[in-house]
Amino acid sequence: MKKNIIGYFLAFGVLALVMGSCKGKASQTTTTDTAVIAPADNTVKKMPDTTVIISADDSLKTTVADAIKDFPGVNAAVDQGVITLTGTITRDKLPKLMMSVNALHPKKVNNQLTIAK
Amino acid sequence: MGLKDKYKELIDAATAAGVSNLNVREQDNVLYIDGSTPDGAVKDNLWNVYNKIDPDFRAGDLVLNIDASAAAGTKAKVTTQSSNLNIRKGPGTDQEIVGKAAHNEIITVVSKANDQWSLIRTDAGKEGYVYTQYLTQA
Repeated sequence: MKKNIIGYFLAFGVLALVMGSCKGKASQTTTTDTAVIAPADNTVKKMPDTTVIISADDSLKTTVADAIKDFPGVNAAVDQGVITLTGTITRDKLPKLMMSVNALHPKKVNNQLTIAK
Repeated sequence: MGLKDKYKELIDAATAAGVSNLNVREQDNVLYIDGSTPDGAVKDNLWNVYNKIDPDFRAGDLVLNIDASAAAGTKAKVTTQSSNLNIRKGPGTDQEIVGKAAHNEIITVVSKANDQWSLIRTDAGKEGYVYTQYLTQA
């Protein structure tokens, strides 16, 4: 009987220990999770290194209209992030137009403009 | 040949010119180069290099976005082709024109509304939004 009681105490003790260590582990895991999130956050901040920001078509249609406004004879179409430029332009004005259009975060710019001499 | 090789001279020139936040990456056969510089001449030079590698920008394999616009709180010069620059009530060409800044006029950049529009103030006290591409750090 006495042996049994000691057995119970032992079993209880072991159980308590296990539970205690589990708890310890649980809280440790939480800490570790937080620690893991921190570097993940850093990764998010570094995202511009790898992620290309491409504007939505609706936004591009508005911004490209602003960008070509001062270039009469130039037309622009937007499809899935791709801006296609058509019409006519003089070569001296082309870089300025391209600078404006490239700043709108398009996926790609197709320059199909005819260069007027 | 990879796009980074094709435009190596451009990337090297941007690095040598000290372009900040220089960001070069390739995605779906297009190379994206972003960065900023307070010097409009650096931007012009990079575009000249781009034009040399890909004459008249026909290949459609590079999106070059070098921001040389004036920072908030600094002075900027109106660098339109020749015309006056419209000052608008809000950031967009659909917004009412509230004034004009002359070609080559020096104005103050109050803040940047977004990628394309800046809130500015002229020396005459006129305030409103202008298209940032026509401003160069003074």
